[in-house]
Amino acid sequence: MRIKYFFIFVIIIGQITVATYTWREAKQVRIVQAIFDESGQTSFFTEKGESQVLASFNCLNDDAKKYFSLQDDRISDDAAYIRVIGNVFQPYPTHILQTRKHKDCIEIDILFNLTKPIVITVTMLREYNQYKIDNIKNLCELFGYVNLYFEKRKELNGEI
Amino acid sequence: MKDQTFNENHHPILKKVEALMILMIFIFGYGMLAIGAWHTYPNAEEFELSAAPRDVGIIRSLVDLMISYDGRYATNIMHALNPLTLNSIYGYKLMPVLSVFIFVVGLYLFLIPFINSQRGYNIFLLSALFTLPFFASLPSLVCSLYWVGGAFVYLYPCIFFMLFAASLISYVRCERIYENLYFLISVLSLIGGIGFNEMFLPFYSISLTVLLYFFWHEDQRIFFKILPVTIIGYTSILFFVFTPGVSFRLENSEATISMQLFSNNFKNLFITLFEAVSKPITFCIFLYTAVLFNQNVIYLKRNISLTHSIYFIIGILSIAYLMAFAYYFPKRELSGYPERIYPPILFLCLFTFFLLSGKLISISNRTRSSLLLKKILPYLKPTLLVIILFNMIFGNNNIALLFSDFRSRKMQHFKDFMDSRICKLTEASQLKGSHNIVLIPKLDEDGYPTSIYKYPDVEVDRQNSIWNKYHEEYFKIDEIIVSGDTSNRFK
Repeated sequence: MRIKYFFIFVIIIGQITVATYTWREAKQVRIVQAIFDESGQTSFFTEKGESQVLASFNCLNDDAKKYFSLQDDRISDDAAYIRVIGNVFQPYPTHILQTRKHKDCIEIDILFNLTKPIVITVTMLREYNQYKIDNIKNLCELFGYVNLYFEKRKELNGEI
Repeated sequence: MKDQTFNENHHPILKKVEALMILMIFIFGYGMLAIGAWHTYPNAEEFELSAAPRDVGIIRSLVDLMISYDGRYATNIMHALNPLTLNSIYGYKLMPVLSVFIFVVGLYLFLIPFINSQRGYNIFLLSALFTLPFFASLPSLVCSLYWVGGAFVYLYPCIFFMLFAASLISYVRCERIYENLYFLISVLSLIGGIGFNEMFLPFYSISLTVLLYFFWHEDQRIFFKILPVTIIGYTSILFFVFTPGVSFRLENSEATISMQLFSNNFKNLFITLFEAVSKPITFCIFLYTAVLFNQNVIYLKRNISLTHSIYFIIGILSIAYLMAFAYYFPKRELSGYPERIYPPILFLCLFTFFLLSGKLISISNRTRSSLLLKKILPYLKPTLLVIILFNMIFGNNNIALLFSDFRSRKMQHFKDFMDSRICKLTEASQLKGSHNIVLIPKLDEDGYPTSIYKYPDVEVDRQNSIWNKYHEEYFKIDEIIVSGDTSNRFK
């Protein structure tokens, strides 16, 4: 019987350890909405509705810049295409960043390969100039590695 | 002592017909399930769930899911181990076959402690026979078997439960030498069984509590023997409930209790059970089993009265209701019919009906001696088996639907289409370019075999961009365009 209760002890300790670890990680998860305004300032809203300015459009550093490339052959009069190459967001390796251009919006999905539970969906509606970012984990840290750079669509062509 | 005339079949030809019919039922039923598996393909969600453990590692992906999505740790482990994570599409096709096989074996192990037979192999045949109406009458075979992710959530907990029940009974009964082994199997299958989906939380909570209560009053030696197992069961339930993913879901579910929630649950449960039981294949196997019990070909190891049988059925139906409620409550589904969630419920109810069929349709000694019954009975079993076979071929059930899709060549066309698509995607993923784009044709929404495949699939114009993205992520392609894309970016 002793060995059985020892087994229970091991299982419970294991469960508590995993639960503690996941909760510690989960506390960093924030659901936010990011609004990029015309002046280049970015306001982020946490799940509790708190607002804070975390990054500015025009502070993209050179290291980050080199990872952005514009595919010239994919630019039409009213379309922009941005792509991130390589592991920009170290230590958050990513292999997909894609943009979609439709008639009324540009949508950017950044899938961070789940090394951290990050999925960023940025959607800019032309009318509202608003971006949505969902499920961003540890946003401050993320923007410490790269400042997401966006200006209005037409300015984008000339910048990069 | 039962009447020998009743117990034995004196018609050797009819006996051979019965054996032949059983053989044909098995060949056709399991053959169609295997053919369906050969023609099935993963959908977008399967690709997504497999890409994460493949690319970032099993542990990391498991932790991520627990943090941000759910508490289904066992399901997520199974996902992480599924053949798609090894880039094996053919391995994926083997999964439904493997699932059916271990279901039959699990049922066999589950039945052994409850049923005895004159011949040992009868119980295995019975398990194989019971399995067919279960799969044939599921509200959605695709979601429960061919969509491997769905099978992990809704079919595998049933298998783990059978393994748990069988090993727990063996653990209680066994000699000291095997005690620790059975303890280990029962504990591991219990931990696994709890972690597949939230529907089994009320089931195990109630079952373990009832077991403890029962043995506290009946036999305290057994109570203390099973106590360690139940403690682990309770802690596993707590572990599931208190994962961050579950809290995250509940916070966002806006779940409220309303009468409509209860009534929708009740209505759907009734529809599911009625449709399953009213299918000729299920009803005939129920009758066939009842005859086997009455003939003493098989018999329950512990005799229970009709009254207790009815109480037991009411108890199982109540648990089934609570299990479904565990799904409806956080989802707040006030209407609609979530067909994929019903395999565990059908599993519990159908096998309870089958096991108690001999009690529910018990032929009294007086009736046994009636001349009419003696004349009819020898023909009854072969007739039931003929009806089962014909219903599997032409009826309104999942196996007949598989056969219909196979006969109309829908399956073959779908397989050719998907083979060509996967070949294209694989070739594109191996290209070394700055930006890999692949153009693939759209799946005909009306023409694909619904018996083995279910959307989501890649879409034109990325109407729901995640499905295309999941394919892109799995095949490591920068972009997948579906024929007919009208967005103007590719001028």
